[in-house]
Amino acid sequence: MNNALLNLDYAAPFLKGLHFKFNGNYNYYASRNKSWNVTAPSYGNDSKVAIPGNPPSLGETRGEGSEMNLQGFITYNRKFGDHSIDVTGVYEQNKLKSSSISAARQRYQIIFDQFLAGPTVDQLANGGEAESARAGYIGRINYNFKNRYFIDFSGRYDANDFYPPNIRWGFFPSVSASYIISDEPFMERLKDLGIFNMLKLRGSIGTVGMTNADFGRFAWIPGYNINANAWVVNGQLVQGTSETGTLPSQNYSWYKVNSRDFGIDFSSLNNRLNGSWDYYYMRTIGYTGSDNSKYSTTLGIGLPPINIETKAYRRAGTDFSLSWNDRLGKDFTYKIGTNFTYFNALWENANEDSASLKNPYTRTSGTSGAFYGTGYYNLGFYGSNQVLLNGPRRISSTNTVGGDLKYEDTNGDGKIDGSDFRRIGSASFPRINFGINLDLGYKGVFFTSTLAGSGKRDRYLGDVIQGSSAQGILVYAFQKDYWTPANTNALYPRQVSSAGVNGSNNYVTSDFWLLQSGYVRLKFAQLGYDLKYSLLKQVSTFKHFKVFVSGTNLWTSAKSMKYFIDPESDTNNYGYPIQRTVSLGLNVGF
Amino acid sequence: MYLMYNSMKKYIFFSIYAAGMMLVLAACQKVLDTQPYDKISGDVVWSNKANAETFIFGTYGIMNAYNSGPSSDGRTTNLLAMDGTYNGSASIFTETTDRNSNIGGFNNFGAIRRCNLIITNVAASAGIAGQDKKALVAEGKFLRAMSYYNIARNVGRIVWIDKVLTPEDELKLPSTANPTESYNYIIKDLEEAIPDLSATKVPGRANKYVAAAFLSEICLQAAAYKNYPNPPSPGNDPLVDKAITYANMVISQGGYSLVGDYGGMFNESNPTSSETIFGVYRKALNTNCDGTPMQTMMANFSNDQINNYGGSPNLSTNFRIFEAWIEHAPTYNLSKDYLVIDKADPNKALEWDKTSQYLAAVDESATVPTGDLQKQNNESYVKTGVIRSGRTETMWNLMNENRDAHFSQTIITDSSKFYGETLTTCIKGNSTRWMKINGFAYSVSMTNMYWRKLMYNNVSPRIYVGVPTDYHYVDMRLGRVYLNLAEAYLLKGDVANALINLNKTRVTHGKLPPSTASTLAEAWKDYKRERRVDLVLENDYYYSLLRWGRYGGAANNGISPGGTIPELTELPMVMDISKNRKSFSIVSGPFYASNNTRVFNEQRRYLFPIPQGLIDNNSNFGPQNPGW
Repeated sequence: MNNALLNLDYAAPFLKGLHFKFNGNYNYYASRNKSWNVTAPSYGNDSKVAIPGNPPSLGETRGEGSEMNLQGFITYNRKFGDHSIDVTGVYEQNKLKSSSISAARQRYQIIFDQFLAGPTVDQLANGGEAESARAGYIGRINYNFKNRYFIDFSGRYDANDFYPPNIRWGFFPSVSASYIISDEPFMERLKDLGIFNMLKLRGSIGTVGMTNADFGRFAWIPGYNINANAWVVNGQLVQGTSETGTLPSQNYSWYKVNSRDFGIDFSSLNNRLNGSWDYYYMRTIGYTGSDNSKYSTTLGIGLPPINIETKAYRRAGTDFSLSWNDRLGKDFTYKIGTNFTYFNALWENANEDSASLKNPYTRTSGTSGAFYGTGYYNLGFYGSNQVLLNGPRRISSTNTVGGDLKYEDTNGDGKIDGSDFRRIGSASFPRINFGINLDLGYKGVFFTSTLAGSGKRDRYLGDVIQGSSAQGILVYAFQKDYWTPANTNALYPRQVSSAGVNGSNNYVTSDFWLLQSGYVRLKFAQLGYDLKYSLLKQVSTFKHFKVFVSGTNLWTSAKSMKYFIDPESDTNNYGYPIQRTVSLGLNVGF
Repeated sequence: MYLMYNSMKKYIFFSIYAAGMMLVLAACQKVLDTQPYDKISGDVVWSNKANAETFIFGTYGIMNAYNSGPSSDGRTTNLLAMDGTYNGSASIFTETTDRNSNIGGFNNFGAIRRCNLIITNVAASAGIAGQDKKALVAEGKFLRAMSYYNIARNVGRIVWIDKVLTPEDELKLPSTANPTESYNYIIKDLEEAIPDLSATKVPGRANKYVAAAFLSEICLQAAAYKNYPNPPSPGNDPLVDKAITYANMVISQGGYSLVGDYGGMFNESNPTSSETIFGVYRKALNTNCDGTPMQTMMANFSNDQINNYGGSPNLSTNFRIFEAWIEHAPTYNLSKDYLVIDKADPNKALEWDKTSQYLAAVDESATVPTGDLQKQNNESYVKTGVIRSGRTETMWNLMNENRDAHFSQTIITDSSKFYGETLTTCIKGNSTRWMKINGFAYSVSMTNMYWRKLMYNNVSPRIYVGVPTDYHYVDMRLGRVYLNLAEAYLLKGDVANALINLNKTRVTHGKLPPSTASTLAEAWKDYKRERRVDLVLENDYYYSLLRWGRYGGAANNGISPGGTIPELTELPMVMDISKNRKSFSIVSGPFYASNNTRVFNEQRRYLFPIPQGLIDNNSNFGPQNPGW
């Protein structure tokens, strides 16, 4: 691995504050990866005979690559009295090259980790090369007056070789400004009264350029892919070629995110009350990809990628935080703070195909993103076999009896099938998050705690907890609470030995299996005493000597505990469980 | 002088810097000139024969729809399935599919685009010689027809596309109005391809006779679906004559011959047999056992499990030889159709429980000695039998002696050898279904029988996930062409010629005495049985049953054309044998999930629906098939 850096900085003598800088970085790497796979013999219980494993194989990959990054800067930085100005201009270019070669031999008989010891039958070799590049101009002007009024303009003019040659460049400007209104003379009185020690208004608006790599690099160059082993003809493997996934196009470029933000920071009552509030709005438009709203199924290949002007996604949100800290008497300090976030997202137009778009109950476009997914509405269990004879039934189910789940025929066509799907649940990514912090101190004793929580959110119960997994049913004791004529108010529908018995009637997607995962959690609490306050006051070696006990996840409240699943752990109870920990500690400062 | 140099210095520095910046700026345009290293230009691919062939080889994946394996047999009572294989076909035999189902793959547009690219670009290529051009274009037409045929036999209607489409063309294309229109296109493509396809036989690649062999079957299918949904009239349909012509072409000019060792065609002993007309081959380099049908036909049990159950004998291999994921096994319904040569009259072959030796040995009305046999609560007896005291025969004699040679090559029954072990499936055997029912082993057959057909016997060290193995599938063979020819003659009412042809496989593969049916009804019975046992697991039985249902009359148990099909509504059955092999019982039941729900709605089931989602996006695909 080689790394070369070159920095030049020239302070122009003809203009004070003007600098020219140059950075060059050349990075070269060579990698070697040798992988010798031998499985240790494994044995059954009490057996002395090894179970046959896969025979040893050897693989080696050698790769090398380089990255060349060049940057040129012009910066100007000056203060004239109350004015202060800072200008930066940058040009940057970056080029990456890489290549690799790999080889493998399989089914070794001689256990020796070199290629010459392996059989040539079915030996493999592969290799490839690639390169990519980008360049851009960046400019920024920052001006403030009296450290009270700030304004910042910046712009980027970027190019990425991902896009076709004639439309690679994109311009992305932004502006931000802030105003410390509490420094104004007319706010002097409020400042003295302690109503606003500090009040700052800020806002910004700008555009960011985005790249979507879903359809692969060089989609603007027509060409065919190669598969080394496509078919066997006359006992030999032969190559196959294919077109790429989409037709080529010269007509796609950056897509943009336009965003704006507005916020207020304040502190008052002698800096005891502090807070801030923000509102933001982002709109992503012009996604690159194949236009799904145009019918192209019979074409047999994807439509050429373009910037889909109508495809747009909005996100907006607000958050605030507030904290109060004060002192009672001489020794008791306390601080309490809270923060709160709310956001939501909406696909203005998700570029769906026309049939999906025409279904207002399940489409993505034009709908708030705060739902979990689509599925049936469940109406509880069938009370008895008799009840099944009245009303619509799910046409793909067989042998349904009392105790199976009943679903709603939402479109009223007399049968229950996929057309009855509606939006169910709340999004797994919670729209609301909040936290409360508490810090207390009295003489040498200190206490901090954090409570965190989310608003409504839903996840979907995994198949093992549902009782439908082929890997094992009725794994947990609480799963025995299933419907029987003697136990009609049960947690689970009637249990079947495999989903096929009733045509998967109970295990289709519905709101019955939604796992409500909104939670409030005492995430952290710590209580401690600094011995330096009393016992060790005179011992000068220690600056502080804190003993403490702390705990994480001490208390959790969530509806998902009905299935004994922590609101943040896997919905099938796979994976390491979220732990509650209590620890004792000592923190010594010298 | 010095002063001047000082003031010059800053300008020298400045100009050096400016020059550097200029260089960098100039390089900026060139730095973005990158190129891909993993694509080749289309011109190169179509410039000569060898390159164009790579594109054709990449298109042969279309033929995988015809591979041997469980596939459409799961929809019939040929096999009894659980887990994945059950899930794949249960919605079909329980008649709970709906118009949104996609069975048969209506949207083959990617494959059709490939075929049209071959046909157009090879014809336009300057670098390919005239004769080669014709052969490659013919191969493209063959593949196009085969891609559409799989859809036609499932859904009946196709979207015929015969050129390479561009985004500017009208893309909301219509589908054909009825199966007849679809088959016209398919048959035309194959008939145009046959004269230009090569006559040399290359394993894995199409030739004249491959196309002709498939044509013999496609013409029968087309004749069956004429006038859908009204009944066809195959008796005087020119398509049937076409089927006869092409079948004879394969038989007389192809140079193929039937093999004597039936099972060897499907396993490692004879993958490129003289009878195989088209096979799909795979190499161990990129094939593991779990990518082949073998993984779901091989059981999973160990000596520990046998001992816990109290079964015997123990396996002798010192490692766990059976550790795969069996999902399906042959049923008693299938095994009934393997005839036994009657001891009293060796010129007659009868069902095993109708032969003179069976009738002499077995008393079906006797009560089974208690404890010899069991059944589950949800099963019901179809038949039981006890070998009369004093007789020396056991069930093994009655089931295996003088039986159709297909039987031992296709099915592993009680006390058969496999991978060096003896598998016993009687009560208290070592691989009986009772090990599964009583919870000792999950992955054993539910029917007391296992598949031997399609299983390679030489996978080392065992058939197990991740173990590499060669494999091959048989898509078309001479025996099938003979059977197609027999069916064509039966449709014309020519019993004599039909018998000659159905007896080819019955005698050569089955080693049975030839059928001597005298009436059309008897000939149909013998033909249907022969086709079932010769072509089991070769993606044929379901489609043949539908064809015979469409013909009606003698072809379908005397039911009128387009009526219900009894073979698809009969319940699957399993046979249990007692440990002393002196008594047996046959039961039917659910076995797993809803296997005992076998429904056939003749108003709609002869063709599957066009997936409604596709019609919703393009109404020209409609109207939906009748009944959906």
